[in-house]
Amino acid sequence: MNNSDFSLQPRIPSIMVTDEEIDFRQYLSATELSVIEHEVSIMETREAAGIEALKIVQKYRGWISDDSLIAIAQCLQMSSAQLEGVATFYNLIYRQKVGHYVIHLCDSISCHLTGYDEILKVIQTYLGIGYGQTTPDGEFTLLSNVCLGSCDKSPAMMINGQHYHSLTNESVVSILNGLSKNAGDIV
Amino acid sequence: MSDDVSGKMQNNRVTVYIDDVPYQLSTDNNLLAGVLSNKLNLPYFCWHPSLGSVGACRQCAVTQYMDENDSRGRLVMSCMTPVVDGMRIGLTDKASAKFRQQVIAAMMTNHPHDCPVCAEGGECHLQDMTVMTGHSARQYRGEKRTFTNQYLGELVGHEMNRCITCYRCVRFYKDYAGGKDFDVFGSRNQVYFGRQKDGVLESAFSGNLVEVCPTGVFTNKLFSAHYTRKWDLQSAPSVCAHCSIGCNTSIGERYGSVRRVMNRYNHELNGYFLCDRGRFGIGFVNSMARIRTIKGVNSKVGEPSVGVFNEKSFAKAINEHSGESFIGIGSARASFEANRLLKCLVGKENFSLGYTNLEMQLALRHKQLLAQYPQQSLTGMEHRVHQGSEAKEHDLVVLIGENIAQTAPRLALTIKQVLRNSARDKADSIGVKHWQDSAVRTYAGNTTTPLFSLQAQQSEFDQQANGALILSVAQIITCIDCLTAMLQTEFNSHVVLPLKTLQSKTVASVNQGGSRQESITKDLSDQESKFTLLLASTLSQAKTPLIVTGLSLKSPQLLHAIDNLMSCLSQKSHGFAPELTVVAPECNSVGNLHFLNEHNLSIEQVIEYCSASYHENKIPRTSLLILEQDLAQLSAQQLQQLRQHCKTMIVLEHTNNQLTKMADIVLPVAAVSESNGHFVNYQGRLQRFSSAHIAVKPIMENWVWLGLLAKHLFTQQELNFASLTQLQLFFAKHGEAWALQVLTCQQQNRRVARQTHRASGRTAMTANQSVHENKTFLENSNSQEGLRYSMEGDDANSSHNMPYTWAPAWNSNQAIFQHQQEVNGVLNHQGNENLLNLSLSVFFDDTHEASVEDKLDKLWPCKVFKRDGELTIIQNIPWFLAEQQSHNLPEFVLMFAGNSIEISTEITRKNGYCTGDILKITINEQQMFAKVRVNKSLTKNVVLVSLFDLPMSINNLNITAKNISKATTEEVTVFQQVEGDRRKTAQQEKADILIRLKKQDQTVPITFFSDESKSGGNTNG
Repeated sequence: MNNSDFSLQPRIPSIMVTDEEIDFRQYLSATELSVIEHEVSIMETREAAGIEALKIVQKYRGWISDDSLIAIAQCLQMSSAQLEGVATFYNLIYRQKVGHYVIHLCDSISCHLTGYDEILKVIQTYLGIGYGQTTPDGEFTLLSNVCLGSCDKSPAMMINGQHYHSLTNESVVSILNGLSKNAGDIV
Repeated sequence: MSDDVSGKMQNNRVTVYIDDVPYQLSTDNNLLAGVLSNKLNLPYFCWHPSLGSVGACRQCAVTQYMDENDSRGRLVMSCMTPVVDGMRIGLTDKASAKFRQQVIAAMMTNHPHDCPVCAEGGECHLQDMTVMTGHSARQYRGEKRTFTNQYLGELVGHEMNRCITCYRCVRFYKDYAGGKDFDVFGSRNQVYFGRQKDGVLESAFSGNLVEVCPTGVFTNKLFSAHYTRKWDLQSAPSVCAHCSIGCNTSIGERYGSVRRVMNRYNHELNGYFLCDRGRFGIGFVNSMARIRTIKGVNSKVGEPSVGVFNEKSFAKAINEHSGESFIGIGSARASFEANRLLKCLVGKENFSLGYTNLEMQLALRHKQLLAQYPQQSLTGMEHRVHQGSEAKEHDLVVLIGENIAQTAPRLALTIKQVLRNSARDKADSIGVKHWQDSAVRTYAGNTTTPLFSLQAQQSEFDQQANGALILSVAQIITCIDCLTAMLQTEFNSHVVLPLKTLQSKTVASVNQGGSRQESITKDLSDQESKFTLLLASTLSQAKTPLIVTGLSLKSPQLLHAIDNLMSCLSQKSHGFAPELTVVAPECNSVGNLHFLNEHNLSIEQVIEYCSASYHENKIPRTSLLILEQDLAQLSAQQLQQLRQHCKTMIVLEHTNNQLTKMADIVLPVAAVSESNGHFVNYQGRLQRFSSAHIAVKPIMENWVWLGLLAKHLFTQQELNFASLTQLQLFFAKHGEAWALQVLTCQQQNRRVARQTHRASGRTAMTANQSVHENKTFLENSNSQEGLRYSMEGDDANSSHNMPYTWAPAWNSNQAIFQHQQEVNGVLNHQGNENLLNLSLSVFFDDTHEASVEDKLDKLWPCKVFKRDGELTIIQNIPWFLAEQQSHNLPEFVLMFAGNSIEISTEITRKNGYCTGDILKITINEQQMFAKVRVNKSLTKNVVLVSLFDLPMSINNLNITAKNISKATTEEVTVFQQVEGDRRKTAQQEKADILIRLKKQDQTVPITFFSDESKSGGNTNG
């Protein structure tokens, strides 16, 4: 028997285990909500839109705060624990506040062989931060990454979705310099 | 049933060559299960016999060869590999053996090797598997990842560093048990299993994590607090006393105190899992409220000290009451034997089950249902799905008037698996095997078996129900009556209304059938008639619907309506097999139905009888003998009347309650862990429970006390039995079928050791007292029982009632497969099926339907008040307190959020209450206070209460609006004081119990003198 054949009433959304103080309708912006609902409409189940919803909210807010997570979970009628599992699994979903630019430096085998550690030192010296840290001006966050798929052009890194290949000590500095300037413009 | 199973099994067997030796494996399950079914050792972690396969841990790798000439083969994960006829695999070959060793080596890189301080040590699956693979040397020299542990509540401890990432916990908690507050976080080497943030685990099945986890990430906090290794435990096969399901448990004891309960596999019942009320609730036997001395006898000498019982002085004292006439009040939580003996002592005319008039009517209806519709093996069927031989797969579940999550949590876990039947069917349709757990779940998505719920309160099942209504009991009954009438019309006219027609034209009449349906539903609201029509059409299309109901709403009319529904459904022709499950209130409620006949006195009649003789003679003449009964359903006034008008009140009880306070004589009775007997579960299954240890005198088993009373009070020497077997023999000689049944079963028993082989260092077992050999103590008194308090005796697993689970190389409960005929199958030494024959008493047989009610009302009249504007009180107490004995576990008390009352918006508006207010509720003249929560979805006349002091036996009670009022400021202060004190007292008691038990470990040489009066010549050499 197919369930869709009969449905007396819409299934009652499950009672969330999250804070009742947050109402996702108020917390999430109209734009966010409408884009999320679009994703939901093309998925088989509501919770299947979890990754997309996280990406959408992150796009507008830079990262996923606890409140954002709870709001999205409410919106998708899933437990916040389940959504947390999704959010923490993917390294491009940030559960902590990150800088304007997030540097993902590849430390996988090819980059390892072609001297990623030198690049790392340069970045760390230039920005004065270590892995997992953000510069005091909130501009840069440095993270490691397992393979960016650029083994033929290693060492490689990714900043805000943009890949940078065949890095040298000099090229890294000029990339970061360029970004710093841009950053200043935006701010 | 078991015949069917084995018959089908035979057909699905094929030959598989394992290391060139031919074996017979079933194609119904995967290769790993097949290998284990042949009792071969193959390490595994993530696979679980009931949870199925996901292929996460890579531990069960074997080499698969193309043919006999293939010498190289390839590695496959056996849990993910189907069994194919003629396949050739290698188990001992170098490649796969090395691979398995390396897998463990990798897992152990992050394991802290903290076995000495780990509660899992000695029964750890990880230890077993590590040794089994041969990974015996530590090679990793790097850093280990560390985690912060979480507080998960009072019951389950958390030590994440031990985790080997097998995913079993989350698969059980979330996927299997439907928990929402537990998940897996992170990735790669940082995978964390727990809650999103610290907090109490919400599921009623969290305790299973202790057994499901292959190592010590999740541990039993109560066991850890007063810890002993598994090999030092003395264990006994027992039956859970915390609800009517009767799950089989294994109770572990050391130094005279109960340490823990573990699951005891029963193929037909609880399978691999217990609920937390059963697992942790056993702690009540160690509570401070236990009665440990005799009260009211030998008062001249003062209270007799613990550890001593002098029969002579007891006889002398009790003899003073020998001239009195006694009424006996039995109990649904005392063993079948004790109730039988009590009835025999006082005579059938003077026997009461401790039921009110209403409960008597309820019990008779219950008996009527059980006699007509045998309760099939329902619980525990979920793991039999993985056996591929489940004959009956329900295609519709209807829950009516019983919140099983509250009254029988283990059954709720089963229903959750039943609801996955259609998911498995869906996966099966594209060739995905039922054991491919992850694939089935992914493909089936949210597909669930249709579920309808007609309840008096909200339950977790509402969320996934195709139809869920929350109604008053009267409305529920009306709905069922309409449903029956609709089905009757349909069956008579042979017109099956197509579903679509019904849905689109709920009220409109299409044809004759339709118009009649319309007239049937005239008593119902739109919503109700929509629901009923939908349910009727679904029911008539289903093949094996399952209807679950129960007694907790205390409505004989409801059971009567269910009876009508079932008899209507039974008319339908072949291929339609409706099943009924009735949840009983207590662990031996169904056993008591055996004693139920027209002679039984209700409690009101007992009170009346006492009062009448009192008024006649101006002095109390009648005495009461009360067996493990608290009469919690009585009002204070009724109790007072009973007390004043009875001469002597003798109470046999294990824990303090309102009756022990007012009794003249209190005799301390052994609790379930210290006593022997049978409970009859909701299906009518007579199940034996055995003592894990002997209680400290003067605490004695209830049948022993009754025997002593028989000898010294009733001068019926022949009813003083030296052993339980003699008691059973006595009744067998009088032709009682149940006694013959249990005796046949026991004769097959050989004498089994309660202690492990490792206890062969016997002098060390009681090293706190003496290193002298403590040989075969207490054997005399128990010479006819099947178990010995020793490591000597038959292998624990040679009996169908296994005291504990163990097999060479398998120290954890995972060892169970070694004792099953095949994985998920029946046990090698499966006992006889002892079903209690519940034939209806004669007076029912030739009575016409219509006059049954009259007759019932004549026998046990109960007035039903019906007035407008009344409120109905429905019990909403959480599952861990929904049973009286578990109130004595401080951990459960600490889990209680405080008294609360849920009321509808209408009442709120009318009386000006709002959420957070404190209300005073008067029930049975007793005042209680509770915090208000406004519940928008509640019907206006229903009030949901969760009150600590309101026993479950009071439910569906009508009160007037006057009984609820806003508490005054002083009362609010008192309420807050009481709530705070309850927590404080529980904290204190938790600490006190631990101190007492640890002290007892050092000082009470329990084994040396506890049975001196009976064993006589038993001396230590």
